Amino acid sequence: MRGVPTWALKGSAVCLTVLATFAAANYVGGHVKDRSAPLRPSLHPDTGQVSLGPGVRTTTSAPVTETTVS
Amino acid sequence: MNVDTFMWILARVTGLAATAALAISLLTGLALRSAVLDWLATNRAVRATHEFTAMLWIPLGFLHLVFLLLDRNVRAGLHLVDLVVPFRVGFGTLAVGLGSLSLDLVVIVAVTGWLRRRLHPVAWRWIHRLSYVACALVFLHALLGGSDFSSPQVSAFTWSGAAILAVLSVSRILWGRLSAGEGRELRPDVPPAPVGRAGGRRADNGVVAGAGGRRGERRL
Repeated sequence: MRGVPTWALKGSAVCLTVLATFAAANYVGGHVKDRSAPLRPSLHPDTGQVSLGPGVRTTTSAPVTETTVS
Repeated sequence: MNVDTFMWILARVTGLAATAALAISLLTGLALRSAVLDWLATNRAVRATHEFTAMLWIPLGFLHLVFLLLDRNVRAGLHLVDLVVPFRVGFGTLAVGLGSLSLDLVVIVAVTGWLRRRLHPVAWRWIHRLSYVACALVFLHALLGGSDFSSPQVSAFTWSGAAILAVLSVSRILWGRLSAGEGRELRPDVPPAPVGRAGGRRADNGVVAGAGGRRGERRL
């Protein structure tokens, strides 16, 4: 047996890559945003600069000092 | 959807596609030594495919970088020099740094691959083995990036592929070429490759002819 010819192997590699590309496009197109992804920092809306910092902000509302008991 | 988001999508798509093409390249490269594809094709065909896959993953990897730089969100924190100098960026330092490091390694492997005839075989072989490290870094880069590898759909394929390649790599390191491959290697009905083939490829099918016409040790 001489096996699969070279052109068929190369064609298979191309087909697999194209298939992976389309599958990736299909998946990424349906999952544009991923909050757990750190590789795309958000831009500050005014300056256009990258804004790095903690996601938790200090609130300006009054602190809760009492609770309601039902 | 704005242009930046579209570029971000394209960067992720080309990144995933480049990873797949790189996995095919690694698989065919491993097959040359481990004989894992001996049931499918001759070593000459596998070698030609292995060299051909560079034309798949290099453009995709290049496009991955281009699309990243075209996204203003990424470009705001990532400069051109950060693509080659690792661990300089202020966000996702480890994930981005591993990507830069893997880029450096694949460039070295690719360039030395084209300059193979001008290098000492032992030096070339050790440099080419950096491709294992590069592929591991690419996988870690994608994994720590978290954009897509955190999803079950993508993880199912990527972890499966990584596991297969890891098993083959360990097998290759521990046991070398399988005995079935030796049988194919010494078969008299497999003709030697023609000498002086165009395109700068090796004409000896990776096999050095020994005394009396017997095929000897592979050099890859």
